[in-house]
Amino acid sequence: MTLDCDYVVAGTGPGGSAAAGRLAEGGARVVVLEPGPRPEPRPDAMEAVSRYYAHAGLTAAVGEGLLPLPYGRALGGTTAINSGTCLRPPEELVRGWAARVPGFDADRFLSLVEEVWIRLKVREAPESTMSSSSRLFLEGLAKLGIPGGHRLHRSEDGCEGAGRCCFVCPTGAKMTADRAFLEPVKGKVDLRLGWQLVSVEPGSPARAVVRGPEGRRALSCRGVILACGSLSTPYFLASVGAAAGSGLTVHPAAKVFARFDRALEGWHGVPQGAGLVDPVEPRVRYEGVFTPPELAALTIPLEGRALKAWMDDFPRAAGFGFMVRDSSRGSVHYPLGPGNPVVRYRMNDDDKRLMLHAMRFVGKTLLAAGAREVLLPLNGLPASFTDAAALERADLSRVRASQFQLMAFHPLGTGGLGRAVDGGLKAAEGVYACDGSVVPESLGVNPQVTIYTFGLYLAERLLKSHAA
Amino acid sequence: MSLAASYARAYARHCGLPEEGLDTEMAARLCRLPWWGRLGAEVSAAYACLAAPLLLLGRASTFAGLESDEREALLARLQAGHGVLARALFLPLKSVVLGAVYGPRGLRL
Repeated sequence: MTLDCDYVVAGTGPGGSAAAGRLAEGGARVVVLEPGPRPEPRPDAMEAVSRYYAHAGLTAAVGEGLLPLPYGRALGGTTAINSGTCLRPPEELVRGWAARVPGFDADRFLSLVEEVWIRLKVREAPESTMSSSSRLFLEGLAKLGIPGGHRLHRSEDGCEGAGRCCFVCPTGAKMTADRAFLEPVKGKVDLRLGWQLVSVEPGSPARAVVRGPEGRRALSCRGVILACGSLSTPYFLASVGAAAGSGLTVHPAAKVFARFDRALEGWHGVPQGAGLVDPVEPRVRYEGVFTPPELAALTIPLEGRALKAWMDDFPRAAGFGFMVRDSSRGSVHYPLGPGNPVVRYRMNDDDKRLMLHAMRFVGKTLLAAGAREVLLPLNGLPASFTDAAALERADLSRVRASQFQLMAFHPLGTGGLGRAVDGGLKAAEGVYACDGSVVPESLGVNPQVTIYTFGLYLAERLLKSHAA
Repeated sequence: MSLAASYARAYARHCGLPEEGLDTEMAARLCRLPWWGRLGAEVSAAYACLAAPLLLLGRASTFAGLESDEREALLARLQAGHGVLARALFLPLKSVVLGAVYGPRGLRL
């Protein structure tokens, strides 16, 4: 491996790929490290989870209970296994970052968002690819007279609605980070699969120690770009003296299952094809979700024969999810190194209230759409309802956060623009970050577009300073 | 046979799910886990198969040796456990067993 490159980019998720691609387009010599493999579609969802999710999908935050925090470990990072949903970062948040962080250019950032939008070929999910769950949710909203339900925008080029976005797109239609930003510069970047960052030393030049199939190497370069993800990057940021590891937000999420009287075959169509911002609680966002049976069985809050009864009805089941723009904060620690983060996260009462509000809302909407039963994501409680009035009356005030059947998919904020990195995303001399860790607060929207934009934003600044 | 595989068979039998091919399926799924995941599943299985009946139902029995209604009650208690330790003890096993039990069914859908 050459020791003479301009930049070492650690990670091929949206931040790393966008930064590497733009730097290479600008003529910089870039080495890109990706510890995971090149993803290939698998017929069994759990096999894809084992191969392409970090820690075989068993990553979890510890708090009141266990909060599963799955993320990708493959070429493309989490974009290899996400739903492909694209939402722009709220402009008022971006302008707020600029107001608080000297040197951060909100106007340029927002214009780069539009460039990302084009590069990812973002379009509204076509009606023809909508899943039955999404259709039913929109139908339920219409019956309740609630406006605002819409088809979501997604990064895809020719999606046929195979319904397997989260287990590596079987048709290759999803625009993943590598496809959008690394493929166009193929031959211009030195992409190293199976290689990972071990340590970083700031300076001019900066030094990255990397490890891979051929052993350990030290690389001198103009800059090391940390894009290892919100749960690993803080390890390296802290090693160069930056204040990283706290401020974790996750968008706690859950889904409500429903049983209908007719066959829905919910596994067909785009799982996350429709959405809504809660009309009363704008920090709650509803988004479609549907999982294959072996994973659905895990997230239905039942066991044994009660679970089997639901699974026997799986062809007639629908589900819809929600996430909360959290005000709770967590942290990440590294007793076992950057690859094995210990994550702490506790949900505060306000977020708990929003979760309960959201599950009631989804339940009522699916009942309005004709569900004969809905099942709230609550462990160890009577969580099944067959009519909206009973669901409305149900006293959920004593539910503890540890009883939620939760997941979270968007760890952010552990580096923090303005805290661990400055307005130019610099943490120390020659050390930069541009992944979810730098997003300084809970976004309330799926974060991939924002993270891609941070990658482009950093690369553009580096190219300018390089030229200067 | 590992304890996790033995639990999977007892679970499938209890629910009336087909046991055919389950051992192979379990072995394949356990193999795909990192070493600590396999260890976690086995520790979970030891808890669910052996310790939980005594701790949760006060019965000195194995999971397979319980009466059908007792097994169902035990599973409900395991599912309802929401502390960190309770979830950590049960979730690794649950993920691998339910994957094996419902995964092949998923392929047929």
